[in-house]
Amino acid sequence: MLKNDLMPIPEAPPTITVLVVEDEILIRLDVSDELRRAGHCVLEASSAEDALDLLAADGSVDVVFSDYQLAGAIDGCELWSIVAHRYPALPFVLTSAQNAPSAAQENGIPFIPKPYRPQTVISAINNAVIVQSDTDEPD
Amino acid sequence: MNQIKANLQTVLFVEADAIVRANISAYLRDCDLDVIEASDTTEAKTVLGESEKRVDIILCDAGSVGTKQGFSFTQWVKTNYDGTPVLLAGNIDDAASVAGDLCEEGPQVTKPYDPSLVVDAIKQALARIVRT
Repeated sequence: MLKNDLMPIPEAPPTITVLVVEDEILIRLDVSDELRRAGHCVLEASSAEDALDLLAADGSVDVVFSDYQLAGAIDGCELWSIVAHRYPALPFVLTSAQNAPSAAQENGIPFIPKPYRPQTVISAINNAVIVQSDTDEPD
Repeated sequence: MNQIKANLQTVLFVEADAIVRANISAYLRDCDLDVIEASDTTEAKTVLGESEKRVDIILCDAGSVGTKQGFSFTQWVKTNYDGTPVLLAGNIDDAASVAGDLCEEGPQVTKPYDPSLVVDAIKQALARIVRT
């Protein structure tokens, strides 16, 4: 049996810090509340530019959860590209009301379509952190 | 831990600087306040008008010098949500002339923020609501 078969529903890792990047205030408010209820610390950014400022200032971020369409000059895929370059070990989960952008498919970025259920986001975020932790562990 | 607890009083914090907003919000949450973060007054108006969450008090940056953004937002809240207190944050000297033009009080919270003073100001303002 594969290791992943043993845990189809990812268990919540110890408290993790999630950077939520969402320019729709009501959506950001709801998903941030749900993540806090799940025991996570949440940083909120209303744009990619704000997200990059927060990442530079706060080294505690464990995973980024970003909308694809964002206010400002940088969209979610461009944000992923910058984050992957600057913080290669930082997991990234993308969301959009549209189909997964081609860049997300080509680069294997975890994607959640909108509208989403809070539990779907929590599971995807936990899973992204667990996968990254497994990758980081030495053989 | 940053979990939401029941029956917390809710602060709508309007601050454009994401790093400042994140730091002060984290401190307020550690002090058992629920915090809604808004990056500008447009977001704040959306929260007040469309969110199901009750807002007990608003903490708002007075805005950069000369913009009057925070002051005009305060007047908008008084008109539309009378009874919801607004604590303005800003540099007293810079904001004094704008406040005078609008016949408004100056900022009640000074910037740069002192987190403990912010909490004191919020709790005092919330206590005044209870008394009245």
